[in-house]
Amino acid sequence: MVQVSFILPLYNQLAHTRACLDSLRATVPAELAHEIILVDDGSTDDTRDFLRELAPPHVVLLNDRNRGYAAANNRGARVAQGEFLALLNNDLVLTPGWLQPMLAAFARVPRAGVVGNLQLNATTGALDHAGVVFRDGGYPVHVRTDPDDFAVAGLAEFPAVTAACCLVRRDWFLRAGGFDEGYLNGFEDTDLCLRAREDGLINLVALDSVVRHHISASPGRGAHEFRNARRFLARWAPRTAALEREWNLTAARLHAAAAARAYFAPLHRRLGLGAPALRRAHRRALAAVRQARLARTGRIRVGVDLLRLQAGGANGGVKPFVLAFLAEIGRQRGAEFNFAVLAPADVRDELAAVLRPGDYLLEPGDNIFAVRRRTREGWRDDGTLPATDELPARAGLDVLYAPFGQSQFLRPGLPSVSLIVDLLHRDLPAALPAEEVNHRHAWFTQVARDATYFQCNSRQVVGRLVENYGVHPAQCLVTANAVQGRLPAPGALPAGAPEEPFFFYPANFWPHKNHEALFVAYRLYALGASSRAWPLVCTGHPDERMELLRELRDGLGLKDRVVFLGHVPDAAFAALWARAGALVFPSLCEGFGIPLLEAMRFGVPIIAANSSALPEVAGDACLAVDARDPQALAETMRRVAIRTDLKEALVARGHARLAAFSLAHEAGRLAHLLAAAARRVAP
Amino acid sequence: MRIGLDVSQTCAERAGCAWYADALSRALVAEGLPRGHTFELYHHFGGWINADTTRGTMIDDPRVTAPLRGLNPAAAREFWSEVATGEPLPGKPDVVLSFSFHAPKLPHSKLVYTVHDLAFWLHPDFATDDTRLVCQRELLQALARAAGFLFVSEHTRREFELLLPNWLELHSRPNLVAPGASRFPAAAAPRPAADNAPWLVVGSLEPRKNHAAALDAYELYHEHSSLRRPLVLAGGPGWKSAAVSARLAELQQRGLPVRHAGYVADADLAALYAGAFALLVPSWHEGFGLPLVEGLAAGLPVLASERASLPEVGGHAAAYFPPESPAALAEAMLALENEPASRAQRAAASLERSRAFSWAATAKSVLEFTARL
Repeated sequence: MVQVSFILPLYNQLAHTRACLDSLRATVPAELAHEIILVDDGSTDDTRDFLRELAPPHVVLLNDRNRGYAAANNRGARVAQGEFLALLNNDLVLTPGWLQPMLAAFARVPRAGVVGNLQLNATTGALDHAGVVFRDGGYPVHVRTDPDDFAVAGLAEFPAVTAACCLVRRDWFLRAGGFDEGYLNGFEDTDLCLRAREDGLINLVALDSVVRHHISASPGRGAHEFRNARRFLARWAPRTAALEREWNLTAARLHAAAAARAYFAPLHRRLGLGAPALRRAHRRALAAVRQARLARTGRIRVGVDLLRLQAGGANGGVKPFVLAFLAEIGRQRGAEFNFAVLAPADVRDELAAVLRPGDYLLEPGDNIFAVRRRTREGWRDDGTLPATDELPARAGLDVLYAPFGQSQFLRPGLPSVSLIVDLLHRDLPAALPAEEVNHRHAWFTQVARDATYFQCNSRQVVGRLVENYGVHPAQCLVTANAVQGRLPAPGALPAGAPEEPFFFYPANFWPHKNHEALFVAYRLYALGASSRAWPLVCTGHPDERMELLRELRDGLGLKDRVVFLGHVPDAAFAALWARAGALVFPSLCEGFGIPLLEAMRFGVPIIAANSSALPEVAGDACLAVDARDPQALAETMRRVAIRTDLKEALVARGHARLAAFSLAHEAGRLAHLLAAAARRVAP
Repeated sequence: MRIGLDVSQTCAERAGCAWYADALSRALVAEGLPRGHTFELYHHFGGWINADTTRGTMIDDPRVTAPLRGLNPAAAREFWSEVATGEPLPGKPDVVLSFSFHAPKLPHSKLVYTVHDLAFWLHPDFATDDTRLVCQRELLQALARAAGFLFVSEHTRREFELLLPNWLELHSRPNLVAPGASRFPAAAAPRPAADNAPWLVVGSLEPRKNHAAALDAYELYHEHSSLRRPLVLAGGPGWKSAAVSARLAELQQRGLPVRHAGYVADADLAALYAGAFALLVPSWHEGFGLPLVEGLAAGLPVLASERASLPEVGGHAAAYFPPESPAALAEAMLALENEPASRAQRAAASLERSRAFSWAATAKSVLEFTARL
């Protein structure tokens, strides 16, 4: 019976293949019943000639064209006969004794899923893989430090391992469906490892098995990174983010314990346990550990241009989004990030809740910025900075974050991330004054030229940005506005809010929000439903257009059915959500649509326009409707108001969908992008 | 009575609503002056601000003034914002007739608002976002501000009733159907058509006008006809017309005699009507259908879509087909061509029907309507 089937997918690089096979033959234990399955994935060099000369135990499979890493391995696995599959890259150099510790892992740990090993860079000799963990919002990264701290008898458990050199049971691999062929040369192995965890297995690194690997000798890896990452994150993101947090805690605990152990050993000998001096020393040791970690990474100063931030609700959805992200990044990476926020003085109190001690506020004055440092007690004046182009350098900014898209301090030389929330001026120019359209076009053109990266809040926005301004998709990061958790528990209902269920439209009174069509639809609905009609509640920053809409409402004869509540504080806003019968969101252009997530969180069924980014965000958790058509909108409102089963189905789907939107995850990814930009490395 | 007239749209390249404003304004002046009314023409109107007013409707009479003509856009905007906050219009008109869908706040005058159609709500794909956002805002403003409503057809009044059921009645707002008419004098008698007299389609190239059906039908017709009359499309480039233009080019490349005459000036349009074999009106939707009534007045047989206002305007004179069926249109074209007697009969019926519409009659009823407000 065959014990181990070695599977090597091949694509050119014949020299590597020869060296790898030589090292394999030289290190396979003599008594091991094995076969070596070589899957040629459409090589164009002399590989095929070489393969023709091979005899058993070699098994040669030829793919008619290049079908990618996953498909090649899966094909090999289907013909394999061994109890175990050893999946090997063809650019490995195997060293004596590499296989036995991996096989032993399966003997010792019945739940072993995917077993990997230590891999050294074949050129430099540096440790390149000791396991895979998740970082920066759930991206897989190699552990490149000695994992001894986590080891138990030569085995260390990790969330995942690389499949460059790994061992799995054949029957499980086939049962699990093998590698997902939807990836193209990347993420297949991490995906497999996570599926092993789902099946109750654990992934291990055998620390006594060491091989050498010609890093990134394999061609075709980077090309599909963007697509692969998207597929991977779409499937695993919330779980990998959780694994990341879990791992960080474990790592911190183990580090602290090891450092303390090392420190205590001599003290134990000198002082004995329990002495005050010992407790002080303990605290110092822990501080030293924290300090050491900081010194290793270095603090990143992030300039945040919030000069357009306004008190109250005039900024719309951008404000809760930015504040929630900054607070979350501070929470996750406070020690690593230091914020210097440029913002007008009248939002200082709102920012106080977001910034941490040590962060800075730069408030614009006459040709200067007044610098204030956040302390535990409040704000401390910390001098001034000139309001010139030199500000980023004088303030020591490593990276500039521009949540309003444009910033007067954007320069090609300064790493930067611009948040792009919609392309309203391109998608619905009619909703803006002509001069605003021109102004936005001018600054989009400038930002597209000067910013390093673009944070977009939906794939729809990425598409529009790429199409309209020639930005490369790889410069764009999609982060969902997962700020549904920002609202506190419901407080008292605001004055004027109806007691019965109501249709709810929280939106500023901008023309693209399409209140007019909604009012006509609402009147149609209300006439049909007569006395049972739900009222309609509109919230939003009070402005001139709200007054106009009030006039239109009165003209329609809806004075006692449609309520304007203005800008509502958070607790009262939450109370409205708790009471709402349905969200009706007929906006003609949205880059995201935060109310969709808030409705999901509060168990409110959703009616939304079937255009712009709304379908992408709402998915199946909404009734999509052509919001330009008042009759269609009215009919949808009628259905939602009277059909309990429909309401329940929508709420259930919304609840399920909400799991895909995690602030920790999204903010983690933004933090990753900011850090990468600041360190000038590829994210 | 002093009457203000909104001629803002006549300053730009004119389409249906602008022609309506121009023709009805002229007729109102002609009917009104002898009755002692005086008039103000507004070349900017509320939110409708023109870059250039020189091409706008002008009427040469001392009792007709044009206080905003020649005003630059910034000054015009300033002017209307002052009107909204209480400044009376120059000449303090008793009644102001809006034709451009705009409903400015007029604290000192009664506003009469013309509803051309509600396609922007009923058929969203047939209106640009620009048009939709303006029309839906202004129409609702009119509900709050207008003392009376004009509908260009009974059909448009029904559309209004469909979307705003019982509103007119509940708010007891007087209203009147004020149909359009031909801008050209009616033909004295039906003209026999030359063998090469073309089929004619009039209207800017936009989705609502359904030129695609005309082209598809023409292709079928061309296969089966012995005379193979050409097809002429008269109308500006409109919007979202790329597909139709491409189809047009394809037919031309294959040698079919299809011509796009572009935007056609008045005098030339009259000649086109006069020399055509028949008029095709394949629109998905019309509020009134000025080309149809002009075709009738020119004594042309008319093949029209059975939708919206077209049957109301065409009456028994026109023949109707479903706009989604080019085959039905092609069949009607062949039938018309193959039976000369039928064409003569239809042409006579067209002339007869066109007598139901006259700008003078409409103007008279509008004047009576405004007097009652």
